Amino acid sequence: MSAMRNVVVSRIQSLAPGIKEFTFIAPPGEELSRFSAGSHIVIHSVLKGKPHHNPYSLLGSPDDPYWRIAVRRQEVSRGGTAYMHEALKEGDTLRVSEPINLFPLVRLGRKYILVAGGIGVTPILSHAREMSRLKMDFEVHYAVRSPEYLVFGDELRTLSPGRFYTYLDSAQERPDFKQLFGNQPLGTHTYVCGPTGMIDACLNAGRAAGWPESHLHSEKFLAAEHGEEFTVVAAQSNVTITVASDTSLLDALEEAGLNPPCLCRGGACGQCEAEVVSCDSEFVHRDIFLTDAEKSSRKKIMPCVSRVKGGTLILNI
Amino acid sequence: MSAYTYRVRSQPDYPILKWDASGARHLLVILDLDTTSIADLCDSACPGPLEILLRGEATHPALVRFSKENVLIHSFASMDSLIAALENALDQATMGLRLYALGHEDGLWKCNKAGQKVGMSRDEIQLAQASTTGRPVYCVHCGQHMNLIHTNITLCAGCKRHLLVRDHFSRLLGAYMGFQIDAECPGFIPAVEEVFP
Repeated sequence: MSAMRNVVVSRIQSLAPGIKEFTFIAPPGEELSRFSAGSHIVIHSVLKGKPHHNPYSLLGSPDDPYWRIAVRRQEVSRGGTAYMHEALKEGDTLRVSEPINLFPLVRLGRKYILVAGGIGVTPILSHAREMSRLKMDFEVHYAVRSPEYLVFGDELRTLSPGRFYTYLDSAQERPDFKQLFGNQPLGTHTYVCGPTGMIDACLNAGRAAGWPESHLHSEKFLAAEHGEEFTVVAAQSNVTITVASDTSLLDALEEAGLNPPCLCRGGACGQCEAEVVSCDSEFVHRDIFLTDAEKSSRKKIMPCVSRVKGGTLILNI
Repeated sequence: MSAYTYRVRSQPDYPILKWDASGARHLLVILDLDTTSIADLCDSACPGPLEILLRGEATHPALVRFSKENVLIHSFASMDSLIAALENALDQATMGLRLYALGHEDGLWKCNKAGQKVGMSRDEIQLAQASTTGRPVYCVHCGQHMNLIHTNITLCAGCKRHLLVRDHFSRLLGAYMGFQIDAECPGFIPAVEEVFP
């Protein structure tokens, strides 16, 4: 696990229906570390005796002495976002990870296209700030449900004057990715963050236009989903654990006192990859790290977001 | 000549060119005509529109197949005019292009530099060595750049030092590093051998 620290909630602000911005400062006598554009932190909380770990992109400027995140309350919240929205107060202390960057900026490009969908705007905002500061050539495409959800729209418009494009679902507007990717100069990079469907549509349009993977950058964090109860055996530690239907495999391993490596807890970074010794049931792979071939090999699993459908899973940990 | 088995990490490894089907358009730069290498590439049809920039005459028999497929072939008399045309083509090109270069190392890395200049990444460029293993050499003492060096030791065209041609390669300079061989024992120059035919 990455290094942990305490932060103090200094400000909570409502941005849009169901979206709040939180500002964190260091406890007295301490300083927050600087971070690079695209970084996120993982907030750790314990609700009703169960641990929760939620990753959020830092949207402030790396030079600020504080950290800022924006949180959308999930309609079906396991507790993490509901807690942030309803229970957290200014002055509270939170346990968080140090910043981690899985979505860093490639600085060698000639041009950049930033694409945000909904609350996926948060890392895009930090990239736009950095690109504006470095006077890089970039444009921003931002799709939301309806005008009131256009959070940080004014700031993005200021950062990319004349090159800020919005798409309102309520007005049946959608970005035309095929057109967007069809005629960009060599050396263009795309950064996309948003709902899975939008990311897939964006990346697929880029691939169809012949873009190489090295120029297509995306980030999405997944929450572990509920599933069937199953048994996991940690072969090296000789521990047998029951993973409840509402607990992730990683949380169950940690509750049993094991300390498997992990970073993002959202199926993106690959740190928690575990070797499967055997499994007598079906895998439910939900990460975006393993390749399709690795997923179907039944040899690897990412415990943070993936699980199995009942039965027994034996891991080499 | 003794074969080199020791490799330093910076030394480039040149695989055989293969058309990259993930690209939408393809640009092939042929620096030296070498029939066997082109044959490897031509075993399969190019998966998309192809243009060729060629140093030399387009009448070479190795190019007959491309002529039959109505591939546009641009001929250049000199390396400088070819690289200038390449830079111009890349500046105008759009995402989806794949660049392939075939020939001696000096030219390959000039093509790579032209690609990097417009922000192309490693997975958009393929380089394949053909016709000679003669090396581009950079003198670390005076900065002189030399090309097609076939021997283990060479005289610097700039500062006239005797240079050992190392395997240490700079992608930025597109050349192998040349160090003075007799810095510690002035005048002691080991036998000069042709090791890069």
